[in-house]
Amino acid sequence: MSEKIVETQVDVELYDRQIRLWGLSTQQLILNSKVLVVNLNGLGTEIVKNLLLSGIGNITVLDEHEIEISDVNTYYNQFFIYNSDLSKVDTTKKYKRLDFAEKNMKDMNPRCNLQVFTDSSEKKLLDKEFLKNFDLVITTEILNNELLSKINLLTRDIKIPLYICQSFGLSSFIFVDYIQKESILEKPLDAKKDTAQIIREKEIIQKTEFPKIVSKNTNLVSKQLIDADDGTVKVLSKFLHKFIPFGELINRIDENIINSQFNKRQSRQILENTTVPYILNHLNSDFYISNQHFNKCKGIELPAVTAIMGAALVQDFISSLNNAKVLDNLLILDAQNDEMLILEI
Amino acid sequence: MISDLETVFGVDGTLNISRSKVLMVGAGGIGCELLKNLVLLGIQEIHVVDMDTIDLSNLNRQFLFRFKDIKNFKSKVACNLVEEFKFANFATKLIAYTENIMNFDIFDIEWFSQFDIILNALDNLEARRYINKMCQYINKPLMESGTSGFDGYAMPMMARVTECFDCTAKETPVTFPVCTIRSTPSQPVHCVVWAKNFLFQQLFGEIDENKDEEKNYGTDDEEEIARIKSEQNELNELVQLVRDTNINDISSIVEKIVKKIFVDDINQLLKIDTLWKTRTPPKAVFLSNINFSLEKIEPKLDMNKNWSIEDSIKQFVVTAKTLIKRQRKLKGALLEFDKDDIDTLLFVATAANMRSSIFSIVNKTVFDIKQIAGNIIPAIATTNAIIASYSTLNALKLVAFGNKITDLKTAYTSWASGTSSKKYMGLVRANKPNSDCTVCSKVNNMIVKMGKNTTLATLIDSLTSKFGDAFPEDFTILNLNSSSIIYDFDFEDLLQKPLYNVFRSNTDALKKADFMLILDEDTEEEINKPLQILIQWDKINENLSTADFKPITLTKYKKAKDVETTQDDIGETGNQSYLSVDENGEVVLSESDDEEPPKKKQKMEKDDIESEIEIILD
Repeated sequence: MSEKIVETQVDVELYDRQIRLWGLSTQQLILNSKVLVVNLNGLGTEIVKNLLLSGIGNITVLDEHEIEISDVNTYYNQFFIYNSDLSKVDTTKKYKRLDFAEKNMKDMNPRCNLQVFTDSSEKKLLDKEFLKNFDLVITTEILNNELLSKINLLTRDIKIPLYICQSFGLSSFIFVDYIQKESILEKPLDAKKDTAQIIREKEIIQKTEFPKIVSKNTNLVSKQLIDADDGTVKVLSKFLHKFIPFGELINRIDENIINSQFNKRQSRQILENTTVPYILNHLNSDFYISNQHFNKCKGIELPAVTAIMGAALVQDFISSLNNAKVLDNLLILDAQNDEMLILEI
Repeated sequence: MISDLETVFGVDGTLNISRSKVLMVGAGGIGCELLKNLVLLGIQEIHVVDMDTIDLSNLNRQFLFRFKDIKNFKSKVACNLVEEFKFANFATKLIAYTENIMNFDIFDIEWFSQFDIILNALDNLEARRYINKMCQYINKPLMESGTSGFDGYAMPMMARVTECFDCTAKETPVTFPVCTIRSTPSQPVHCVVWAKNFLFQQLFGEIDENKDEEKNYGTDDEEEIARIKSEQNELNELVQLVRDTNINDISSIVEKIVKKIFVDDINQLLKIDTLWKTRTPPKAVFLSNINFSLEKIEPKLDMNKNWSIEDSIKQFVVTAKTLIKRQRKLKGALLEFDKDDIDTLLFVATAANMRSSIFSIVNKTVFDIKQIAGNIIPAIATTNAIIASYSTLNALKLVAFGNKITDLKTAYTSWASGTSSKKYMGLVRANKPNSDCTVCSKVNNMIVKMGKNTTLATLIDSLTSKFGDAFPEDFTILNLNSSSIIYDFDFEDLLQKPLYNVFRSNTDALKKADFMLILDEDTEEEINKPLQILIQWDKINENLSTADFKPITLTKYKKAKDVETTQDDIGETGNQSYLSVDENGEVVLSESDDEEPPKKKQKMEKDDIESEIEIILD
């Protein structure tokens, strides 16, 4: 397949703004990328929108979901389905999301080579030969951890990066598996001084894959982190209280560590503070039974929340092409508290 | 009702969303994202104001626009497309406006008051300041936002509860002294500013009416000042030629322009020895090699490459002709520099590069000059989406969860900006209003409704009768729009004149809100804070001659402390808000794309994980 080249005046003018930020060579890489996006609900819609805008050359979308025209609940949160198209068709018949969305995705960037599949996504995702067609796989709306683990094993096998994205109402997360990624770490020379003075350090990112984290036997906070005496656990556990019920966290972390990190009053508050409990606990189905609200929000892909995550995900992919700093390796949004944290797992 | 929304926001919360009415100012990068969010969430009524039209370079991030929409109004196209996304609340009402939000004849204070929340998606400081000032009078929450590259912020504000947009100083545009631009440029940007703000403006734009005497030349060299003035007069003759439709030989006009600008003026400059003692003297271009009859260049030159001086001159000749023809077609109207208008951009770029060559300064590509001339801060889709969504979520919290404005936090891109390695977004609780802020704290704000026949005397009478003793005996009144005194103890000429004529004498200008300021000049130790009056002209009763207002409590301050600064401070605020940045003859770069974030506050610079946690746990 021949390389596409950003050369025409239209390309340069259209991507004028972003080329100034990441240069022509990165724009060239964007143009030649082949991305697989799984499912086109709220998150998928936002991700595809940002990919189309950035000038990605090839996008493939898998989505077998049907919508029910009489029930707006089945499509209220996406904008590649237009209500004028819905009004034109026989509402008694069954339709798939992509029946309506394909045309409008193409319209947003006609220059993108867009392919869609409405047959079984699972079958395709477990087909190594199919996955080999892509430089990147992004899954959304898949909440089945067993399936995600299998997909991640395959993407590791063929060495392509994977983003796993899930949403729970006001909460959402992106898990990134670059497998191995060289990234430029930018550290201010002197935090107080001008941020223009930065040291660029190359860092190899090599993290655990998804299966290890989801397996029921894996500790939420890995043994190494707990044992580390560089203070990592302190920061991490303080963050984590927002995302997992503390009862569980505390059960999993040695009592001595908790006592050394928090005073009694704080420990008590930690135990009572179940706010929007979280993501990580969802990864092990035993946990989230403890929180009704969170459980009810499972899979809800809410506008605005999905826009934030979709943008962060696509920006991260572009940064990875540009060898700039990347997410390492879990991004969590708790929109109830506005918090958006990057965790290393 | 959408069951997902009810699950997340509750039945009442969802109902509240579907009953709210919001104003969105701006339908650009942030605006498109905001509008999509608000429609998908089922807001009842959304008013969208944007006077801009769509340009090709918008399409990489303003996702509601397509190629076919180029040159159409952003607000209209955006509202039309999101009609298709109306699922959550099919009754969502969308109203698009294509006028300038600062047009007070259309968007008056009563109009602003109808909204529950105001969301800014603006690209310039002037409009942000204006909206901020309006919000001081309507007591509605304002969601301010801005992005620049990977950086961005979303900031909730409420008059008198949180700090306002003007509570912290904003970076002012860079200015250069006249002599640097007109006589001794040393950087490419000086030549670009010269080409855009002087040459282009003089030949095709509105002629600078500032008296030369008022200019800041940045030099005391009388010879040089005299030269700058005579250069100006000679240029005016060229302007007459450009505009005289009886002269058909456009090539000869362009020849005269080139001869004057790039030869004669340079030779005049060379005569001032003092300038070239420490600088490389300029070299005029050679006229003999230039073909002034050239009509077009084939093949087109690559705007991403540096051109030879010959190519720049050729392109200048061709473009100058195009612009002269275009201007003549406008029949008296003027051309405006627009970075996205290829002819105006090429004119400025080639003229700047010719001047750079003359002064031995490196040339820049057209692409680079576009950035310099437009002072473009690149904006990208992803940052816009994140910031717009934080603004949306803040608005939702007020509407659906009934949060107080003080519960909300300013969010900024801490990870992208390099101020944190763990927090993708940094959060800062709203500060209290800055007690020194001349927009929100150091003034008493009041709206007065008057008619076209209301005189200054009538206003003063109603103020003194309603406020009684609280109103000062001795005072000065300023017209903030022109920063001029309209009344003080020995200037009473305007007393019987209708204020409408005083404020609205200029018929061409944009009709912004009219503000007057009453300064307490009493000799007591404690005096009133300046009373800032927003005038609401009565539209229905044309001949109204009364002045109506709801009296407020006139708060006081101790004069002793501020006696020397108060009046100057206020005067200066008037300047910043209302006078164009081109005042005093200073040449200014002031446009931007999607506005830069204000200077980060000290508080934001710390990645203070520890203390943040303490606050939440305690």
